[in-house]
Amino acid sequence: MSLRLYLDAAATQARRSLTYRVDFWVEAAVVFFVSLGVAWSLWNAVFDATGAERIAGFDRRGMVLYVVTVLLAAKLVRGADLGDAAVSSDVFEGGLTRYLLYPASYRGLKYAEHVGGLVPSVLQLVLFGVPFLLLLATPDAPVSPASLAMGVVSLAVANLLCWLLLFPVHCVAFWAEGVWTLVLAVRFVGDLLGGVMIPLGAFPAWTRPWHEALPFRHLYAEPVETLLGRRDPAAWAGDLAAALGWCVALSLLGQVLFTVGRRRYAGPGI
Amino acid sequence: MIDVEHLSKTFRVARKDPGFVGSLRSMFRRETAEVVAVRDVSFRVAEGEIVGLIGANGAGKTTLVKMLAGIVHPSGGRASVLGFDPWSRDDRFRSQIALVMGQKAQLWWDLPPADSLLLLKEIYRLPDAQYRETLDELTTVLGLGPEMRTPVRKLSLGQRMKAELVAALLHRPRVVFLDEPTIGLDVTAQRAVRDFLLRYRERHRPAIVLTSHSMDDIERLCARILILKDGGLVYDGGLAEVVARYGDDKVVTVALDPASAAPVDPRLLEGLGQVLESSAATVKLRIPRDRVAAAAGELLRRLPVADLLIEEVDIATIIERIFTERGKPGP
Repeated sequence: MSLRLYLDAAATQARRSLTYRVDFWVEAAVVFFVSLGVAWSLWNAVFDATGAERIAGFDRRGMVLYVVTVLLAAKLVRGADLGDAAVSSDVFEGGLTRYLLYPASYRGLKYAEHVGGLVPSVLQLVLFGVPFLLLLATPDAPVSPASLAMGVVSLAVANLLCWLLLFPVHCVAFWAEGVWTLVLAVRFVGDLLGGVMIPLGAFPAWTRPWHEALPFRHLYAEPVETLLGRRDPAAWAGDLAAALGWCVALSLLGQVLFTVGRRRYAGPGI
Repeated sequence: MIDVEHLSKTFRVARKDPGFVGSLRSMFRRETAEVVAVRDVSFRVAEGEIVGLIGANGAGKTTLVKMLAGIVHPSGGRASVLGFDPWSRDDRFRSQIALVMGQKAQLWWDLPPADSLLLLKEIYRLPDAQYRETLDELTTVLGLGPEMRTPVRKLSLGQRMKAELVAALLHRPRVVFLDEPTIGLDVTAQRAVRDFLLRYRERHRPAIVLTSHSMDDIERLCARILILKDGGLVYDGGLAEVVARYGDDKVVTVALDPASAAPVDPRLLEGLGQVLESSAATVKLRIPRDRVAAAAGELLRRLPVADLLIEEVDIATIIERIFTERGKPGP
């Protein structure tokens, strides 16, 4: 398969996602400032109520930095996992028909489109997130060019892992009529166990084996902690290898479900 | 090019009683039923042939087309398109077919057609020269210009369908499936699409399977038709032969002498045939083929005839009759 095809598919989707200018700016501002406002208010209240100087290894400023960064990163990791471009929408509404006609891999094209659809989120991160990250960098979060580089790689792998994790869930649409709630449930579990809602260090010690055994920590907590300079290169490499292992396993599962499910596809909407 | 043997497709569909209680009950126990969409269909289509696939709504036309395009798996039988099993998803097969759906856009809604075509160029791995040549040919014949740089959502239905045709034919497919390509178009746009398809067939000789409810499409484009009824093939043959086979009647139109202004007494028409129209100026009857000569003689004797015309029943009426008649044996 030609790399140029997938770059073109990504570029086409990027053009589509930049079509709606007002939506871009409103979302950029809302996501950033609302996230910042909520994180600031919530964690200040928690620190005030508990009287603690540090929670889960973060001081107040470090916690706000982590929460805002993880929320911005989550947009990059998830992309458009719901909506009309989602795999389950293709199955349910018949958009899959177009792709089945093409002499190209459906999953390859969809992932390329998924990546292309991230362009607005990347721009939003560059416009708002990076200045904020550099402004609020603390001794708790020693952001450096190396940590940024490793973090970007981790985010790229996390994006692939997130897409491969949700692909089998979307494939349930071949058997069930609507999987929107199921996708939301998986997203919620991912947010909870991936460190979006609260840092993983805030969980009780007995939950750690679960975090280790499941792939969710690779989605959000690890890339963000890497970006913030809180992981050394050896730990980062180990996490990355584990994340890639999950990618392979989930890719195989998705391939099996798609192959079996496609036999049930009726090409609705024609 | 297309070889279909005993192809069948059965869907399992959910059934629900109407009303709130039915909805509530279906939350706990879902009833399903098997629906036979295509039943034991066999036919062949040769290179350069345009075959019209016609039938009432739900007859199985679109399901059959979707099976031949490799989108839907059959429940039974076999098909070979260009020597490939359509469901094997072989790239060599998919790069030689096209499916145009009048009711479903293939182009990206937010983008101008030109952007979608650039992606299709990569998907089908078209060399630059071939891409430019085919694009020029298609856009010229279809009369597309600035529309190619206008977002699809802002195009009229006719312009969109023309752009869909360009997208579908850009890779010069050897087999083209057209599912209601003129649906919703005005008369001018319908004619433009038909003329284009005829020219395209002359130049590239693809096998074309066309489904349409428009008899104008069928009569203009197809020398051969397949009639599907309740999923089964009830007719496979020439368009002209369907009249001889199923046209049991003829229509006799009598123009009455203008001097006799009074309406025709219905008793004068008794026993001649089915009266389709009767006024002071015209009488029109449908008469069984074997009684036409006798009935015409009677009409000349009983009425003040100025002119008399004997015609075959029009093809749309014959096909409508095939759709609606139940229990008539197939070929």
